[in-house]
Amino acid sequence: MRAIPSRSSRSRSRIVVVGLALSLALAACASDDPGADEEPDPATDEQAGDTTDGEPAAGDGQAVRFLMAENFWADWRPYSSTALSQKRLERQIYDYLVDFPSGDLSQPEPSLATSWEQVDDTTWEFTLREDVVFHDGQPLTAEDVKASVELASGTAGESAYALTWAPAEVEVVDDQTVRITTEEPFAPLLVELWWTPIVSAAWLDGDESRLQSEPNGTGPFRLVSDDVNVKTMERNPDYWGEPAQIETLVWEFIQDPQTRLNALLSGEAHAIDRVPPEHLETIENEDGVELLGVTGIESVNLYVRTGRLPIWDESADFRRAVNLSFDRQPLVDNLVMGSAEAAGSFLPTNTMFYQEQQPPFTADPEAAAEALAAAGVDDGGPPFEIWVAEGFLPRAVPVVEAIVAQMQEIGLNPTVVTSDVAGLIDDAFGEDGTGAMYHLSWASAGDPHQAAAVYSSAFAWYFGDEELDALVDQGRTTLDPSEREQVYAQLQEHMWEQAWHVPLYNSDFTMAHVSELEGIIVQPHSFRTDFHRARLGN
Amino acid sequence: MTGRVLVTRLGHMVLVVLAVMTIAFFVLRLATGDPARLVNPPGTPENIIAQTRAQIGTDRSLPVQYLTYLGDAVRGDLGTSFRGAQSVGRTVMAALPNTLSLAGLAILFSAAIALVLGALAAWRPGGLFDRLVLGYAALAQATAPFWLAVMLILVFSLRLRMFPAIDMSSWRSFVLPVTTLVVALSPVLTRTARQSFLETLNEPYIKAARARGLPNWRVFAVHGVKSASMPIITLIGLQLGFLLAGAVVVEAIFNWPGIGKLILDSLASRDFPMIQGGILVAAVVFVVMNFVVDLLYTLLDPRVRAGQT
Amino acid sequence: MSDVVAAAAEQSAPKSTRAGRDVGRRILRSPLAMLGLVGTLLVLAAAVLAPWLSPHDPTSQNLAHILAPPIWAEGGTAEHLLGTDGLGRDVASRLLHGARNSLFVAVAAMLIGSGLGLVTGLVAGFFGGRVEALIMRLGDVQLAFPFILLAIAILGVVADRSALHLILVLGIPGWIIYARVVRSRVLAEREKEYVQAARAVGAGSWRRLFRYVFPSVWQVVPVIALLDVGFLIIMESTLAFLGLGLPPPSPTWGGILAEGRRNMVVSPWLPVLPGLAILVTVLSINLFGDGLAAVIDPRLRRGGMRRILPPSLTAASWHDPGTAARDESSPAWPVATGEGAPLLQVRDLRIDFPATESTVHAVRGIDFDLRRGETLGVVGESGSGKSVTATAILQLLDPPGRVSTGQILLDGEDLARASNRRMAQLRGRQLGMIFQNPAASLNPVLTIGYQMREALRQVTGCTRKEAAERSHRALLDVGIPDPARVARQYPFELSGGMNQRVMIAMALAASPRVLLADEPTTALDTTTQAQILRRLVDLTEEHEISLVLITHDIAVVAEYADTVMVLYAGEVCEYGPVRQVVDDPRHPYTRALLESVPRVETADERLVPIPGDLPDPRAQRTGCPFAARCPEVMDVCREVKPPRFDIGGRHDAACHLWAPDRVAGSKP
Repeated sequence: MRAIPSRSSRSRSRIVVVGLALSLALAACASDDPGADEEPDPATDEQAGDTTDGEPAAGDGQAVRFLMAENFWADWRPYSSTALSQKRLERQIYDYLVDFPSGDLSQPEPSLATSWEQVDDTTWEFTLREDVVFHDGQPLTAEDVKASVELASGTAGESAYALTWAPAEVEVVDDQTVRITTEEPFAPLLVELWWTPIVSAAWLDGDESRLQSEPNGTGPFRLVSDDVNVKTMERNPDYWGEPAQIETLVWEFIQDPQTRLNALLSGEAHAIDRVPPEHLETIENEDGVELLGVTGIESVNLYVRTGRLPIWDESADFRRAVNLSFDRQPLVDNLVMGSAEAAGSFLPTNTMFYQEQQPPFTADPEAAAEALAAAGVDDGGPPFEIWVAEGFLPRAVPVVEAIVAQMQEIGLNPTVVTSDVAGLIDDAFGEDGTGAMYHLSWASAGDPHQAAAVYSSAFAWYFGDEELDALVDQGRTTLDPSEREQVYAQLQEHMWEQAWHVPLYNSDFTMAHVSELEGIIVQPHSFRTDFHRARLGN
Repeated sequence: MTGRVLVTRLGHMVLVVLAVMTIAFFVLRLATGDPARLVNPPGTPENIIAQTRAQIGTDRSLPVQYLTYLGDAVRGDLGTSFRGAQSVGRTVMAALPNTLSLAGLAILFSAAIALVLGALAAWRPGGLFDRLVLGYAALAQATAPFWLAVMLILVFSLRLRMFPAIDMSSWRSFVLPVTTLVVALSPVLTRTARQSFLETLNEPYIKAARARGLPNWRVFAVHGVKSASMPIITLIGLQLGFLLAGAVVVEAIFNWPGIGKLILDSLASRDFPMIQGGILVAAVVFVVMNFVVDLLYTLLDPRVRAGQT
Repeated sequence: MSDVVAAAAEQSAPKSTRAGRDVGRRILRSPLAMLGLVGTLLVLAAAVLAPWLSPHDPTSQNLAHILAPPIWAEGGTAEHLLGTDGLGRDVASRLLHGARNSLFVAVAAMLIGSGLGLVTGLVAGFFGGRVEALIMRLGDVQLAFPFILLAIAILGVVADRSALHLILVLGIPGWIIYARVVRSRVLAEREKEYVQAARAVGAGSWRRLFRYVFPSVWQVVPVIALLDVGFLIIMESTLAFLGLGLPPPSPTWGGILAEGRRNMVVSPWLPVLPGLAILVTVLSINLFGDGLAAVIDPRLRRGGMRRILPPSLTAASWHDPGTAARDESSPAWPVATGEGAPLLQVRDLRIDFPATESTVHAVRGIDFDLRRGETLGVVGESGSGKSVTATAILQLLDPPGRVSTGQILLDGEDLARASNRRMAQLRGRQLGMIFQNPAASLNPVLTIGYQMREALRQVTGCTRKEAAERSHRALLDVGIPDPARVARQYPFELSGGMNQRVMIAMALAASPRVLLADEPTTALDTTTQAQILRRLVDLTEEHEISLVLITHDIAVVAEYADTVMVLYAGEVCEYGPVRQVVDDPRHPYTRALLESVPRVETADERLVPIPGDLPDPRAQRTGCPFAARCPEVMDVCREVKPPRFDIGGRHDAACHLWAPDRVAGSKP
């Protein structure tokens, strides 16, 4: 496990402070809150029954606007996508059984579940919090947890979460107790639960269109308006924990980074997402705005599709040649900048059991030429397309341009295809795609299974490497931490050796906000931005 | 405009809109792969994609989809966004006033500027002011609107903090985007105004009006402006398309919640119903505006009113 | 690209090679157009020579040397004159290659648009019928919809975007601009004799189209194309800015700008430089295009509101070398003053229309008087200077016309030297004018009533109600039976005769002291003519208005005028009381005019033309202007300009036949 680096000491200290505050959320007293000394917190339980439509009390009515870099992909059907934008929205609306506020995956904290115990290798029992109500007023019961977990894990229906989940059965012991059973031991269960929003069973079983358009959770905010690119949330006055301080929270998708920056600098937005590296310096030098970031959570690679470039599928030497054709470090230093790091493994750096692999891939024209010769290629091999999406991952196009230029120097024949995200996704996962490599990223919540599952037979990046598939399974089902560490050491070594994909770097995730906006948390192992404790100070 | 002319005219408008709908529909369908895949984020299981396909109706054959689309559109139903459950009609209609207010102000100011500058330039062709006006027109025409918008934001929003950089919140929000559009639209209008003033001023009735003892300003303001404004009105009708295109760029830069931004954003996620809805509404607005321009023309020119041309 | 530009281009199509050479010469003389031409050529040269001019490979990266500042900024080096971009590529080289790519895309798109437009325009114009209807309907759809939206949609969803996509999407929508212009020119050309002749000798339609019509039609395309390229460069950069441009690494200006914008805050020059390149290029192209259009179509430069002040106000122009100095031997037309002085005295009036090549001397020193209550008939054929004289009295000469010498004295006040303000006061109140072609002299978009009331209120300062009453009376006076209805009507709703009456009513309503009536009855049938003239003369008598009646018809003068002045080629031939002149014409030209009058008794309504042409109005003149056509021409007539010889009784004639020494001898 790595510590959580952040851009400035000030924001780091805030993460720690707020993180601690959150871990003590149940018992949180007003004095823990840095802003509470200045004004009384009006959102007490006495007022909780008030309608939020009414005139807000003094010091209330805070409206915060957050500009997102990723479009809002899907509707509100839970577990239907792994899109990060969706998860970040859901984080405000829903609660989870457990929480890992410190970022330490060995330190789960209660959330909707107040306590739990592992009954045996495949069974866990959770005791649920009482007096929790959904936004529609219905109380949270064990039935809701059963419906949610079974759907998410793929037992009860189609789920995009099934990729990292294992099929789970949930037994309702009583209204406040559930038992979750998996067929095989499932090591990352608690981490998965941290990502699995608990949805009202009535909603899941009810009208499909209501499920799509009206998320009904127990979280600190509830959705009040749902436009294509703007999602407006309002404080949930009936929240079981301390109610949020922000009255209105607006999430808005703005694709252009410069527009987002303009909005922040001219005071029209309180926080912006995905600050591109070229803007870091500007924000650092500007008064009244601050950066907030976490590092190493996202693994950016050139992902290769099987069948698109036959020689890739067949020849490990060819793959090795490609991997030795360019340098990662200058890309990181000069283009991606920030706190990105050249990839040392196929797992992101902040993943549990991360091990840096040796030797690192660097530009080695001689070795690359030898590898090409060994692959039986003398003309640089067949031409292939590297696809890259504009406006999503920072500096994506220049990075790929730089890589392609270096590949061409040793005689390879790549071409760049730029597209928008949707076009790239279509080409990558559609049947008629023409590309061979795709500049994409994959984030994990810190558990290696989430990072590795994407390379298994469960996903499109699989090359029929059965050994790899077996290692992924083994990592999922091995409970003993040290044994599990061994499995992942083996897995990382195997992947590095085979190099089915082209590892590039682990990027950071940096957002910026106005200084008045205090208390935003970027969760260390996911960048689910949490506005629960955020407030506008002075 | 007689009843018959009106009916023919309306028929034309319907045909144009229909043609635009058809082109938009097929261009979008034929140019890409499976929208269901594009609606879902990467990593979505294939069976969910199939589910989406059935849900958004792209599993049916193209002709069926097209006819359904037309049928629904005739009934006023523009469908539902591929993303989430938003009604396309409601979303587009919510965006429309924002684009119209932007474009309307731009037209208003451009026309006013064009009339004033054109008139002053035509007052003494070849004079200093005329050269300045023509210089402005040439320079403004050579300025890429998006570049101007970027520079305006840099100076007036980020440096001077005078006007907001994005959004439509107060009257101040209008200043920079409208300025950008006015600079884009006014050169052509100004040149036309100048030229039509010059032509009007050469008309015998202008000389006759002066011979009747009318002071120059009055001849100019009443006789000149009224006659010279006709070509400008026609041109505004023709420039609406250009304006809409400019609005797309300006809306993207200023994050203006209008039709143009809606279309651009929807492109990013291949939200076909939303793109189609946006284009359809743009086309309807366009033909209606052209119709209004013609009506206006008729009101101003009694000859057209009487059916002569 | 606008229709206006297209229309301007249409008017400005070079007519022939000679005209083309002429255009070239005039472009050289217009500094702005020259600037544009030079700029355009420079950009073109940069584009063509980019591979040789560029100091570096535009795609070669140097990640160790990114975002280097340009040479003038701190840290800049001569190695990278304009610095480097986010990948360490040389900005100068990228801009040069960007010129190449941007121009290539724009020009290729233009070629597609103009090619399509040329073909469709030719076909539509030449074959007409259904083909034309179809093409023009398609054009309506094209114009009726912002196709750029669709272009954005297409480029947005085409995953594998290439230069070809871009060129097609940019180029195709432009066809309609070209097609419309070409079609209208083909329509005009199709009916020309040589095309018809080719048809007569059996040339097939395609052959006629390409062999005969095409060569005279294609010339409209270049000017539109030029401006189109400027427009397309901007469109290309706009698409690139929206992320829909050429795929990397090919640099285009729009692409460089869009990339540069990402580094805008750290390296502000990155978006500024390509922005300036676009600006300068498009500006150059537009200046050149404008210059071309303006040079070819001088209409764009003429006119204007401000009256060109008579240069006679300045001493330097008193002796215009273009006009002959006043003949010493002419009888003096002294300026009379005091009680009995004529109302209007015109002395040695010369009117010039200066042009670049040579000056037209429209009126060459004429003198005449208009007494109070008198009706002066001014006769002459077109080009004699009679209308110009009238407009000069009102100081409403069309530019570049000007009074170069002379005096126009109204009650002793010289109108040639009056200020604009003073003239505006005099017009309407003191001086009224009825123009020829009444329909064109009334504003088509304002009602008769409005135009009458407007003038009356301005001139008399009366109230709206009074003005309405007075115009009502004035319309009744000229014989309009239903003034209230006519006042609500527009000029085009009235017949020519009615419009004529309206003009007269308007002129008379304000009771000016002098009324100049320029061919007030042209294009009317004889009966109406007589009615209107009678009414006019009666009314002027009634209101004690002095009338100048300008006409080419000496019979009209004979009937209605008191005094007659016969003008020929800007000079006075004969002047005198109407009965004397008509009964005993002295100048051969007057005689010819009288003889040309159709005689009712012979039932021959045709005018008998006078053989020969008017002399060149631009030429310096020696001798009598009528000498070339005069049946009684003498040697002296070609050598010496005849002064106005006094015949007696206010009657004079400018003819050597009436030189005192000859008159003493024989009389023809």
